[in-house]
Amino acid sequence: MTAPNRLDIQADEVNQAVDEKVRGVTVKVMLSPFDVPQSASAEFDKARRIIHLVFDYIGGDEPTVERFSDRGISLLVGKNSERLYGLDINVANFLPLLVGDKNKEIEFVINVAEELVTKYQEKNPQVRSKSFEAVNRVLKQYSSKITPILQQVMIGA
Amino acid sequence: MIRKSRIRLWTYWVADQLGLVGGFSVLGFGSIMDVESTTYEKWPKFASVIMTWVHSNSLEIWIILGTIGIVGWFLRRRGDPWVWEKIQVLLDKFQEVAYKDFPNHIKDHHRVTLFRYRKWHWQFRTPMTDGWWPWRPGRWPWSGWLVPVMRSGKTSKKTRAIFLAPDDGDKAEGVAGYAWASNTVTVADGLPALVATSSDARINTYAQRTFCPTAIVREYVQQKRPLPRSIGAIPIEVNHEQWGVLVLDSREENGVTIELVNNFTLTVHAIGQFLEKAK
Repeated sequence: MTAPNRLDIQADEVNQAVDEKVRGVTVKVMLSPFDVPQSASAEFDKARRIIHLVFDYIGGDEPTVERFSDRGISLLVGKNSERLYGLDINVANFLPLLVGDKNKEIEFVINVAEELVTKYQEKNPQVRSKSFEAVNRVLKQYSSKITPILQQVMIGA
Repeated sequence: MIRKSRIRLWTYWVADQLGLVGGFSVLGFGSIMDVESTTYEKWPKFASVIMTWVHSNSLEIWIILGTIGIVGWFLRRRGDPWVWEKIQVLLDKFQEVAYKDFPNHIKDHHRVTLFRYRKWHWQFRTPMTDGWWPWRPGRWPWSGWLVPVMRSGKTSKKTRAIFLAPDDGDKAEGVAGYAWASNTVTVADGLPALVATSSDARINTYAQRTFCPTAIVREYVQQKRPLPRSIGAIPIEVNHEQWGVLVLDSREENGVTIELVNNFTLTVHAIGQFLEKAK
């Protein structure tokens, strides 16, 4: 595996308070600090030809299971917390796209990941962890910073 | 509520010793039981008498060792008191720093309380009881409750405030219950000040804004017990599972703010780490 590339995430950038109407009254609500990733990193698994985009949380690591897979991207979810710990991106699904403007194509990968996370959230509204929401915000707000990290790990691809 | 106590320290120490003695005894006793009578009969008389006695009373010895194990487990079931002491220190510090804008206030006016989720909780007297039967549909001992385990400062430790936290999140009570059910940091501030002469409408507004049954708020008011004017609740996780909620409450309407809560992510994390050892 290549050396991990890391991106620090500012919690206050992705976890801002919102006024929410609950049972007819307004309260201020924010994601649990345990559900907001502190950092993201990427690694390339040469053997499996998969890019792991991993999210770290203050609670630390836990065993994950693959919960949802679509268009070459799988979601890795924590066994206990059901928190989104990572995305496995199958390079083969995206490689044909990565010949031209790599920036654009990686943006496309991030968009697909974003769509997938949203889809999983919608399909599984009972999941207590709001980390999916947080990861989606990270993918949106940090896409320009995630792109060079993915580019770098994909050099080996 | 868990408080610092010499008895707890002593019982935990005893449990530790019992664990040590019991563990070695089981090992030694197990080995002794493996020795055949034909072997130890050839040993010196003293050793032979002891071995015979041990073999003929093996059932009683196993029962004693089992009892030691159970007593040790019972005494240790609330976890290491050292860990709870450290959590108390963290809560006190949290209180001190979080409410530094109110240096001359009585500390009890701005509190930090740790609530733990319990599927079962027996409480026979609540404002929701009608005097002879303590429970009602949806409010059973097994309905799921947030129960206070530790509070900052040295006073108001005798709270009986518990919050309903059932599987149906829509029925969760209190800001704490809502934070638990939604797994979000939740803040309700600018709550109306209530006094014994407050109107029903004002009491209802307070109850609605804090997700509490009106009967509970009314009883507090009637008993002239002061109610917080701002409340914040932060979910706490231990070993990647929801464990409880940390509640900040203040008698100032802007005492607890979302910014304040946001600044204590690391403290919340540290409490979660300590709780891993506290059980």
